Amino acid sequence: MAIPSTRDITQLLIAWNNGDAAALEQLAPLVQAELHRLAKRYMAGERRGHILQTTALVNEAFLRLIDWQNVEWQNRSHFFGLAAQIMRRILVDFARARCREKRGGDAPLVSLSEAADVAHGQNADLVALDDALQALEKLDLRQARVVELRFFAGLSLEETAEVLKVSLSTVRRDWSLAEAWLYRELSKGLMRDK
Amino acid sequence: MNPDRWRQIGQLYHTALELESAARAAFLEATCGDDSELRREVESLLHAHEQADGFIAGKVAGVVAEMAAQQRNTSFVGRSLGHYQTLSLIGAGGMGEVYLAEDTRLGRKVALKLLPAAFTQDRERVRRFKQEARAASSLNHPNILTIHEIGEASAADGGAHYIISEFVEGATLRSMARGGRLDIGKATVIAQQVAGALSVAHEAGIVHRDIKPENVMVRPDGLVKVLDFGLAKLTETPAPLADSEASTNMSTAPGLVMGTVSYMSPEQARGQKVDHRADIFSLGVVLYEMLAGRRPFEGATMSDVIAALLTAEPPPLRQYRAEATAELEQVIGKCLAKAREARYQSAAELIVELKTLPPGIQTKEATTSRVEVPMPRPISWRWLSIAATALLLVVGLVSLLSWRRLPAAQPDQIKPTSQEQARTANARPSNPKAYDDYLRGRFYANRQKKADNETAIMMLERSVALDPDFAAAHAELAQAYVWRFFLFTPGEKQWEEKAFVEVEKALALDKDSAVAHQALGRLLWTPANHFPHEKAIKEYRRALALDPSLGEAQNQLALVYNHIGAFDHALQELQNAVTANPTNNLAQFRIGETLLFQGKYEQALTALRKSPREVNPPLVGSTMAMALLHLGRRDEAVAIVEEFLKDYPGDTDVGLFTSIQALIAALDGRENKAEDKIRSAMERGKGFGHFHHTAYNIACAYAVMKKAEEAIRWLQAAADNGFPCYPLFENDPYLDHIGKDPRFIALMAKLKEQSERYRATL
Repeated sequence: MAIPSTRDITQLLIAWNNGDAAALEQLAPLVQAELHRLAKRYMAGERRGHILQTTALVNEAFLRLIDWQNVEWQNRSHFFGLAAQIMRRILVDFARARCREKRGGDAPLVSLSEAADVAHGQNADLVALDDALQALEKLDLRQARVVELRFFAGLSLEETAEVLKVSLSTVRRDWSLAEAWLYRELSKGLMRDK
Repeated sequence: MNPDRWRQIGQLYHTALELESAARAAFLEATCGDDSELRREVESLLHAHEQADGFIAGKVAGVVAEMAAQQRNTSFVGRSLGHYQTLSLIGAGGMGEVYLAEDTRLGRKVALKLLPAAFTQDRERVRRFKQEARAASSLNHPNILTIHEIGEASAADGGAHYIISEFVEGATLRSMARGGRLDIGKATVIAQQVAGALSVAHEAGIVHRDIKPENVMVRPDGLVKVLDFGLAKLTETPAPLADSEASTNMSTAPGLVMGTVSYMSPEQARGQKVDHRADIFSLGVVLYEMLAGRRPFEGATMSDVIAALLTAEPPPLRQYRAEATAELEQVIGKCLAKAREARYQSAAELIVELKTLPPGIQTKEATTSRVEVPMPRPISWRWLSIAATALLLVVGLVSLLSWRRLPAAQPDQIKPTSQEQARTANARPSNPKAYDDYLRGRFYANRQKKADNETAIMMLERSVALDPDFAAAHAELAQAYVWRFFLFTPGEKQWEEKAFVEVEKALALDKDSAVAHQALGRLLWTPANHFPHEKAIKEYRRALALDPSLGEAQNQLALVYNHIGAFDHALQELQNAVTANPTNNLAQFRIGETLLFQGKYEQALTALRKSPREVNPPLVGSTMAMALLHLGRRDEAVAIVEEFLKDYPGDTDVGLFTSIQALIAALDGRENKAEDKIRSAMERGKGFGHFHHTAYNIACAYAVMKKAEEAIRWLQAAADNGFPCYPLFENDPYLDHIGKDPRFIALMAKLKEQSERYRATL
């Protein structure tokens, strides 16, 4: 597969931003490939005990993918809004697929893996989180956005406020309530599973 | 619920949150009135808020990590590195990717670990890593993952560094732990095996540094394998973990890497120097977790975990595991002592404690787990009477101090000597069938034919299946596996591992099993292990002290003596062996070899002619060719070499005969041909395996060609790789050609000193 140019990717992003849902379908694998490459490098480069930082990862992935020079982006916030949505989409799709695979029979464990162990259960959690976020969107869209920006783009409260163009205290309140709610919803799910 | 209701709940939640918790109830009472559902909603959210802090951030990062590791995007599958072909990705993590691969040369499955490029860009780091990994690869213990090779791909292949190790099918402790807490007996047996691995590594001066459930695999048969010895060093940086950069990173995403911090010793968390007692701490954490289902030091963030492990005492195990005894609690507590001086000072000490835990906790095998862990059964006095009965049944059947190599002897005619009776009584045969299988198996085990060996293995396996406590049968089975590995199917590493397992079982049941010590000596003395002469000598001597009639131990002991130039010791041993058993053909052959090394070529030839070629065609053939060559009977030597190569066109796996051809060509004055043969011998041997005799012949060829530098390099290689045979080097006429070279003189001085050191220990 030829490596798509940053221009192609930028065009797709713009198209998607303008309401072309099909653009995301094309965009996701491209972003995922880049993310994958970067994440691997991060994991290798970080010394033991360090954390794969979502923020840095997303930042770098998009900086590499997007033709910043030639596109008029509304602002940095706009970019992060898109980034968070794409990240959510990619990660949740991946997690769902993994959950399906896992249900499809237990292959003999022949693993020297650390990552597989680390992420165990987190796939299921992420899928549950996505479901809960969708429910939250119906109750309060902004609260759901706050969560999306914080979790999937790794934004700080201040950055989130900037992207959503609301006050910091509003973000704080949204965040506090949304997090409590998600925690409760996910805990319920766990109880049910047990 | 609808958005309006949600808004109402939100407002109450925020207001309540700003109140002191004591005032919240009254506030909710007043505002919710009769709407008890509203009140429940707000209260449950407030409660969730208390616990939610940072709970999801780690989950997202965890999925990113897994995505990064997934197979779909890795391009390495199906590629070749040297003679390894990757088949599939079986794991990935911070330490690189692990592939299932095939060793196309030996046709076996191996695990190929590709190190992350980021680790290997720093040359100093790579050097340190290689040093450590080499040391780790010399560790030979059934509970340590065997490393076959540490390699570096060619620049064309990207120059990646990789490690080839045995391929283990099984589950990590991490995945086992997911199935719930482990049975106490099972967990302590696993811990004993991990401690066994640590003990051997620590003795060799290697600290694991990263003992955690992910690094412990349990095979379906219960054998534990500890992975990644020495690898942790690769990721170490001199700066302590608690520096500002690290702690900033730590606070951002709680959850993800806690697994790694959680098993660290306090000294590691502080970034201090680490010694073997750090591994003991980590093993304590692992054992605690297996039993309690939670870790001894927990916290919401990584910093909290570190704080806990530096300062807090772990909650009593019995809080989570009612049936844990005080003794078990104490053992774990001692592993987890903050000050390393207060922990077990050696893994061996810990093993003893684990083994002597009161039986109260040795609960029955859990029925929930699929993994069976073999546990030594307690010895019962009952066996003694059964043993006596069994002996009565077979007395009159068995003879033979020297039955080992009597081809005419039939198993039915074998009866035990008094010595053997004593030994077998000690080894408690429990039922006549097991004992019968043992005797028959033992008969076949010592005949050096593949079909006999297979029969022996079948019978001995059946014997230990009938009576798992039958030490002598385990020992003979170990010996049969040893032959299988060394004589018949050298590429199949599993036989070596099985042999180790059986040795362990035999010695656990009967530490005075002569055959087990003999097998262990042979297992230790391998190229991968750098031929530890002194260790092997110790095992063989132990075996012979326990049973002086053990002809095979005599043969092997003489072999080791010959490698370090202790010819007089070797001859004495061999002569005893032949006197005790005139049909010990291998001993007969070795006498010839020793005489050759001593420069007594005529006598050597006479002795060699007495030993049937079938004993071991390459050994007899090559030794005889060398004796003839020294006697100036070139054409006869050539004939032997050619005859051998006609039967075995690929030469031995180490190119031994090709190296003799090189020497002959050098003696003929045909330098180009000699160089060709040297190249081809190297190609065959690849510097791997029992290569030092080939290396020695190459050195001789170069010496004859008066290429001193090459000759000395090869001589050094032979000496460094298990053949420091100073008296041979000093007296070999072929090496005389370079005898005046100062580098040769210096090397000889060094080897002489080493040789004297060896002799002092004999």
